[in-house]
Amino acid sequence: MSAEKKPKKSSSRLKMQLVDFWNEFKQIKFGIIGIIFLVIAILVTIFESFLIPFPEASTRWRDITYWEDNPRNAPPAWINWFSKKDYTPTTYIDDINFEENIMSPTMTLMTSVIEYDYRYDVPPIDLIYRGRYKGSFTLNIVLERPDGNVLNLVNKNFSSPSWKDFRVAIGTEAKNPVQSFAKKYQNSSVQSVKVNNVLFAQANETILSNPQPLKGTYKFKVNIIKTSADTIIEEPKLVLSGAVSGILGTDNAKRDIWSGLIAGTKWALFIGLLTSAISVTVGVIYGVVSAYYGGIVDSVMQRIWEIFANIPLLPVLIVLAAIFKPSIWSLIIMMCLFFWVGPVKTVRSMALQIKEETYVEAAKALGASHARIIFKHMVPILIPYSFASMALNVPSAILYEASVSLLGLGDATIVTWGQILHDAMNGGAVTNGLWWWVVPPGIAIALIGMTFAFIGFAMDTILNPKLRTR
Amino acid sequence: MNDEIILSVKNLKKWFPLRRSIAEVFKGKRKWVKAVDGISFDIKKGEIFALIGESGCGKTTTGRLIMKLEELTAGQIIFKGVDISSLSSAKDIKKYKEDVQMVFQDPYASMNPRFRVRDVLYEPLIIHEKTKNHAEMEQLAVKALEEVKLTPPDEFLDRFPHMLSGGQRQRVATARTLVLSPDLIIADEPVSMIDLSTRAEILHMMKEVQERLNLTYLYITHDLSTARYFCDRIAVMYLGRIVELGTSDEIIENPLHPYTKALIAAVPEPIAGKENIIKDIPIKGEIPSASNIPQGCRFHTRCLYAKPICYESDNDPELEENSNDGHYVACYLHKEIN
Repeated sequence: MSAEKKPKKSSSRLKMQLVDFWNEFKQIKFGIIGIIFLVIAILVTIFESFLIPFPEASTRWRDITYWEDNPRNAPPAWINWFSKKDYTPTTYIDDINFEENIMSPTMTLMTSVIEYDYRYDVPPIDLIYRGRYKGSFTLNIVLERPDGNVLNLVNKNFSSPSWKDFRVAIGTEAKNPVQSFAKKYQNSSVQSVKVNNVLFAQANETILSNPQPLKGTYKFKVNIIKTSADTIIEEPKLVLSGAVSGILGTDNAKRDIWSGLIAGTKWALFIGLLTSAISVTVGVIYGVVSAYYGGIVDSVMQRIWEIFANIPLLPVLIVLAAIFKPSIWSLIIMMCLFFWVGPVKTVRSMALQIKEETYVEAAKALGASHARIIFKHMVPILIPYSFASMALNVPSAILYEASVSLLGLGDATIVTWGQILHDAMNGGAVTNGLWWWVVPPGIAIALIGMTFAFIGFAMDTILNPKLRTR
Repeated sequence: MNDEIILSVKNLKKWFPLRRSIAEVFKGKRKWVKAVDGISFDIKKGEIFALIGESGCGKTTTGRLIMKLEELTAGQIIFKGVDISSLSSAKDIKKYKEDVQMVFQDPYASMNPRFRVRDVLYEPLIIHEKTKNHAEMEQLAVKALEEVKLTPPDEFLDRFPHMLSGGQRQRVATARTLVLSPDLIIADEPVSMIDLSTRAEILHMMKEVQERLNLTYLYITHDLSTARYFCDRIAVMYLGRIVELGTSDEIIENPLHPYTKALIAAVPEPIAGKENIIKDIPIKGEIPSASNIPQGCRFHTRCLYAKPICYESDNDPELEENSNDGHYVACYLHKEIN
């Protein structure tokens, strides 16, 4: 008799079930696709800081100063592969080495040469030199162009007793020298000169009217004269605010959309998983309790269920989000308040069946408490179903968060995909053709929804038809 | 065996209400399924008492009423001098459920498939807060498994029910009742779903345990042959009432009620040369519905001996002692028939 064989001590039933489950799951192709996407989403969350160029995107999404060096409404950098003209991408040059020259006890001359290889057709939007300092110094930037022309771009004094940021936008600071440089070649009545267009253009008579790109190595000579002994300068860098920027471009507030998208992944997972975990747990327990007690308790609980099931969620969410300060937590709580109805009916019908099992009767005969019967004998049998139900609930939680955010009622301290879409709508992204602002978050929402829907369907196919009681 | 009465059932009734139409609700009519309709018996300490009857006769309901799995409609169940239907505090009910245990019919369903044998045996200890110490629990569980001859116990402790045979499961179910050292065990058809070859073994084990631990059994069955082997006294039930009660030998050798006679005649005899003979069973028709019980003696519709007194009287015949030998029968005509 096989049952007489000594069972291995280590073989647990749970493990066996999991192996069984996995073997069946492997058969379902879309389930595997779902798992792959889920793993990707989790990896993205884990390695977020390695994936995004702006590590504080999540916390400083609405901080204008954090994004100020980026171009506005710039398309993604990879459109260069498809367009005839090459656009300058946003470039950060921050490995700047200074050569120190002590001139007197109080004065020190620091010089550095930043070489920039320009090989594009469309010049950057702006050039920014920035850093942090304490004390006082004079900043002088001289540009040596590939054709040998030398321009003195910036002369500026800074002084502050405490730590402060300095930021020089060459596009505005160097208007005069650049204008006079251009006028040498083309006498034009044009008053406003686009600094960067001139800087990166060939020195000929169309420098203003039709600038031709001058490709080659540009040398920015930065001279800093510290005028007091205790002056310290940190994190100097030159930013070329490009005509194209990053992996997914920027929005109208100069924010890097790729960073927002990646930083939003964890919030999508968090909102989706937490909401569905809480609401399914509540729903399953509600259903079991309702079925277990039966009679009048069941009737009352089912009527309450019907009320909640028939309240349209979105209008309520909008009103509540408008009344209370919208935060991620209040949003999750409100969604849980309405999402728990999902599994109740199915769970109740399953529990009605389990309730009649002899082992439940046996537990009653032993004098087991109601809580013990519910949580030790009934709920564990519903766990497989609960997991499938949770997976199926995740997309709707994400979608509802996105909907509420799209309406401008999201949590203002984080960045979610719905909020990016909301900003895009407000910024007229669609009418202005800023597709990189609209399409990626839309796809991301669809993908994460698909991921969990696939996993949920796959689990459902395996677990739902049979009440795996033995 | 002594004469101390451990459980006394007096005029026990369980009527289940039937769903009514609206017209009936307005007329105030109530319809009932009279599953148990006024039964009385005493069980002495240390005996094995059998309730026998065909399916639907109310024997399982009686067991469930005694186990407090159902609320009784009328009557009394007195256990060790206390009317258990009047127990109201949860503590008293719990104490009662410690003293009275039940073995269920289906050994495949009576254990949670997710529980190991260990968990099954620990459950009563946890519920009744006997001990929190795992070593002690294991000791008690091992002892119970030894009682039911599942040896070596260590091999069985970590198995799941689905890894056991039907006989082994019923042994575990019996062990579960034993860990709390109860006084009365209600065995609801414990061997009816077990292979014939293992039945005798299980019954033998149960009897041994009963003798060794001086337990009392209420054995609920439809199977006369096991009842005779196993029980001291037998009560025969028909449609919610006891029709005959006596020692098992008396009932089998000298049945007085026509229904008992029919039951005994219906037992197949596996004797060579006789297997093809269909016996003339002294009964007619089908069992009536418990919601529509015939007037008078409720057996008259199927009785071959029925006379006007049987269906003209307003009540069922009472159980009366035949000749001062502890053999009771409920039949108007039993003196004439026998």
